[in-house]
Amino acid sequence: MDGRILAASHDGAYVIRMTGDVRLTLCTTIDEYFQKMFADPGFTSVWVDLCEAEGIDSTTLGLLAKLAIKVQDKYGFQPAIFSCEPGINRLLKSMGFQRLFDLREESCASPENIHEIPQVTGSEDSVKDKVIEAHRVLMGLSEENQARFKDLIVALERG
Amino acid sequence: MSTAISRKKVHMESSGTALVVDHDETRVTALATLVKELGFEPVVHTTAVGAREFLHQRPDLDVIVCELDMEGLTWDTARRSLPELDVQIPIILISDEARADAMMTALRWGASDFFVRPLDDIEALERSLGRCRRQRQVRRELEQSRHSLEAANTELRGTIKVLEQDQQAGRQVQMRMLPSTPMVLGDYVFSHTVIPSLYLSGDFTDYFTVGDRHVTFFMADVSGHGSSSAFATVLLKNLFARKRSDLLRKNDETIYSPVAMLKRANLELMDLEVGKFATMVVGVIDTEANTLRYSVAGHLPQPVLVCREGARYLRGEGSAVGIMEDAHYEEHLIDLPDSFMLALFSDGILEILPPKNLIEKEKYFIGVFEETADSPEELVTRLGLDRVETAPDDIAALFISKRD
Repeated sequence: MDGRILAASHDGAYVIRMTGDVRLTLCTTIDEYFQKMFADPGFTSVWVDLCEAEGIDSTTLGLLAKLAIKVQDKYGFQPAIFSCEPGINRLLKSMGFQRLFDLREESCASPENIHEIPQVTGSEDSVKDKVIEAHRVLMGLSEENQARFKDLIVALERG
Repeated sequence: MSTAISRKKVHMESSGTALVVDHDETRVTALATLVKELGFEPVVHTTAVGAREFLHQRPDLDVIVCELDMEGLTWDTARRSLPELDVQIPIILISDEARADAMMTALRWGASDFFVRPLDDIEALERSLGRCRRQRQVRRELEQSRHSLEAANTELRGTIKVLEQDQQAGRQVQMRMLPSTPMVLGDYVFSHTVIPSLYLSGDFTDYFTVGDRHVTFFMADVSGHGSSSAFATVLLKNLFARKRSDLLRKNDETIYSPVAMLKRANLELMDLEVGKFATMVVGVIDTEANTLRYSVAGHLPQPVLVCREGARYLRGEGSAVGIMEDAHYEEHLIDLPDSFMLALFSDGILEILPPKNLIEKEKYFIGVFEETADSPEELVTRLGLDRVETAPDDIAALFISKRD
């Protein structure tokens, strides 16, 4: 399956979803998206959803690492990666991503179980609730209503 | 006629050239004058043969204005000669008679317009001539852009050739940076193979003696492919060479420590600020004690140690180099069997293995060693490396073996 990168935001909560075999020969689009995200004054959190990813190439891993470092530097928290595929988890851990991200290996198909979302420190409780709600909304986005993942849809062919 | 003359001034600037053909001298002169007034430079021919010869020279005309009832001009000759010429010049035909069949034939034959004498609607003729000129202009522009495209294409080919030569040169340099293979040191044999997916590879491996009993080796897989990744491999090669000479000149023992080397590599790659990172395995073999000190920096597949008892991964955790400043690495010290083979591959090998999932791939990979693994050559065949024509990713392999 060809790799795709989808992204969406809701009330300052951002989700980046990678599906299929993700190989980036062009990464400027994602870089631009991240810049836009960091320029958002309402930014509260970001997570990466890799549950439907089959493979991730080194360039993409590098971009994710960069994202995590920037979030840590700028907002003081580690973004979460949701990943329930053992091969992907093995890859992430071998690269030392557990030190960059809040790795969540539980299935992310059940948004009800999400209570804590890594986010900008100092957010008030009401904001926190809003962020959790926002993530639930984003989480509920399935293949069918993928149109809502409209901020960034990059379909990159292999090689 | 007076309206035409007054309009003429407006149109003079964009004048074109018109071939005017008629056997009747008086008529042709009048027609030429009219055409000139309408803003075209007339070229007059009074015989069909003459006009045809003139057209054979492929003059750059905007329009042909031709008398239909002309001596020496028949539908047959015209039909034959014009396609022959591949004439792309619009034609306006003029006749004394308004014969429907002649008009139909003329239009089907490809004429742009048809006028009947007396020519009283000068404006219609002017519009018709204008259309012809525009049509011709469009063709010229097409022709021009085709030419410039061809020129650009030729230029691009040239540029690509130059780039290819650069890459070839780079590849030569990179190949020469690799250590000699095989390198035999007593019972130990070191060998390697590197298959780049492009000209230049982001994979690199090196081994060299340090002092009189140690051999330091490493395998590095820089993210991405091509030139920028290849430059990072040069940096790593240089780092190891520098630390080797620092031992001799400054008594700096960094080269004996895989973790210290990885930390240095980490800092140097981060300083490079090109967004490149690398997974690495660094090892130091003490040939006298037959021990291996190694450290793994995010590298997959992990090194495989094969001996009589079977094959196993040499475990080790650590971040890839070039990502984060405070990276941590583990150092492992193991006793080596009397007879063994140590195999290190870059992750490109995983791409060509049949299973889809990484965990399955790792199982399959170690299985190949369990089953075969007497010699690097056999392994290369078993893994399908000798059949790889276009590798999706760079593939590098380093083999260290010892026979007792």
